[in-house]
Amino acid sequence: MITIRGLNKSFDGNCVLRGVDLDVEQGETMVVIGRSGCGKSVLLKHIIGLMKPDRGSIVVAGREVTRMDKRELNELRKMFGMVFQAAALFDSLTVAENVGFGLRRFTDMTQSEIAVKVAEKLELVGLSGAEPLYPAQLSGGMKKRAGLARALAMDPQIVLYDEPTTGVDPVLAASINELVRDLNTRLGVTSVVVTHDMASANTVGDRIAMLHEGVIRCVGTPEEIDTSDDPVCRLFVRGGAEEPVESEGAEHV
Amino acid sequence: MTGLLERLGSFSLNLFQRIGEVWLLFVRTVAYCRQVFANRRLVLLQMVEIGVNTVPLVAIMAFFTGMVIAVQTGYQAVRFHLEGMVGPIVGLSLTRELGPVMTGVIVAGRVGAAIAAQVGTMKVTEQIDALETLATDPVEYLVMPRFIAAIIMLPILTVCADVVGITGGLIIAVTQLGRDANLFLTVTFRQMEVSDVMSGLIKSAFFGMIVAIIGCYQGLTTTGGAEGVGKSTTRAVVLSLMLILVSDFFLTVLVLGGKP
Repeated sequence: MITIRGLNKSFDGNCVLRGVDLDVEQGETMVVIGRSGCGKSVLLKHIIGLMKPDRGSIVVAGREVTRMDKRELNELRKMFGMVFQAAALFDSLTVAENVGFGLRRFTDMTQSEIAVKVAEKLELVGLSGAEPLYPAQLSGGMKKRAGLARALAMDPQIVLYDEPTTGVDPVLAASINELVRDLNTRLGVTSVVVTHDMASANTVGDRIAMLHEGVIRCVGTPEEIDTSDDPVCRLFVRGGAEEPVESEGAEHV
Repeated sequence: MTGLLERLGSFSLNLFQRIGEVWLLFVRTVAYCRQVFANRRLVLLQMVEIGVNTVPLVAIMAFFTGMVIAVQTGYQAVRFHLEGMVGPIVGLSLTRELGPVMTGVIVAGRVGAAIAAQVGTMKVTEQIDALETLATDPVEYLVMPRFIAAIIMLPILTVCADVVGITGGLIIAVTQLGRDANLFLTVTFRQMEVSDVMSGLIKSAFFGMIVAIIGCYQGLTTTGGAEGVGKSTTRAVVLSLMLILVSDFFLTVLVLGGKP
């Protein structure tokens, strides 16, 4: 479904991605873990075409994203949903208008049909009745759930999650994890989840990829990652405080 | 010496890059203008924000400007027994020059700053990215409605400024110079031509373009959180004001064709 090859990206001479290779199969949930600032969100933004790489290719559903013009990208984006770290809800719109944004612009649905669909998605994320509220009236967790409802409103085939459980309480984090898992098993949605929350990664991930110093250091099932011999991976998974001893190259478990 | 040349080169490159980016934004915005009907609700909202909500400010400015021109010219005119010229001077200076320029300046300060702050905040809080992930081009959704609204509302605001300003001049002419109101208005409108009003309206539409494009450009290129939003807002106002004043000269020459 998503194939990334040799992805490179620098900002003002600071090389963030140094040749990322990653495959995400259709219907699977791939979790990308890594330390803060290692380029996880940058990788996610490349997949949906928000950033252009310096080098490398990204193929989504058989189409090369990096060479698309604006119109082609907008067509491709209709199969995506994206959940932002800080929700990124539109301040000037209500929750209902935020969630129904894509439905209003790209479907022939009537106002009442949109209202029904918005209510359905809000119920899915446990936010029933929040339709008339503005983002400023929501708590951090509610914003996150509204952002999730907006990402799911158009019934996307691929959902990208940028730190979906960061900054929410453990109960809500568990319900978000359950929702991601449920979307994957029930609807066959392909997901890429960026997180540094190992509990979340182990719960939702079919496979986990570790991004370290601009490359994918190791890829495997949660069990394989948990028992990995790679020192960087082991340190991250077990939450050590010291820099690991560097080993040569990337190791795939 | 090398350092100086390097800095000069870097400054020039940066300047040309920005001019190119603004031009590109303008071209893309004009291309999206054919989508105006599909986005009519957004355009109407912006017309209220840019136009209707600015009317009180423009009216106060125009009223006092008209009165000041009348006081100043009246003071001189009395000495030469030319009190009858106060009306045409107020009318012509407002419709041809002060109406559009001062309206442009007020809109640049009030609306240009608001556009840059709003779009800039959306940029730093990833709302622009969110728009793009929802298959919506920010130029179509944010820039084009503001651009159209500014082009439509600036001339309307300028007409308000002209009418209120002449009224201010009339009050001074009647109360301070003892002129007859009917005579004041008759002489004023007899000396004014349609082209005088039209030249002001054409200029104001152009100023509307400047305010909308510069405000949106500064907003869309904002980086660095709240501080970045503040800098973008300041830059949007300063740049809009400069461009309004500079382009006013060239537009005056162009529209009037050197006609005195």
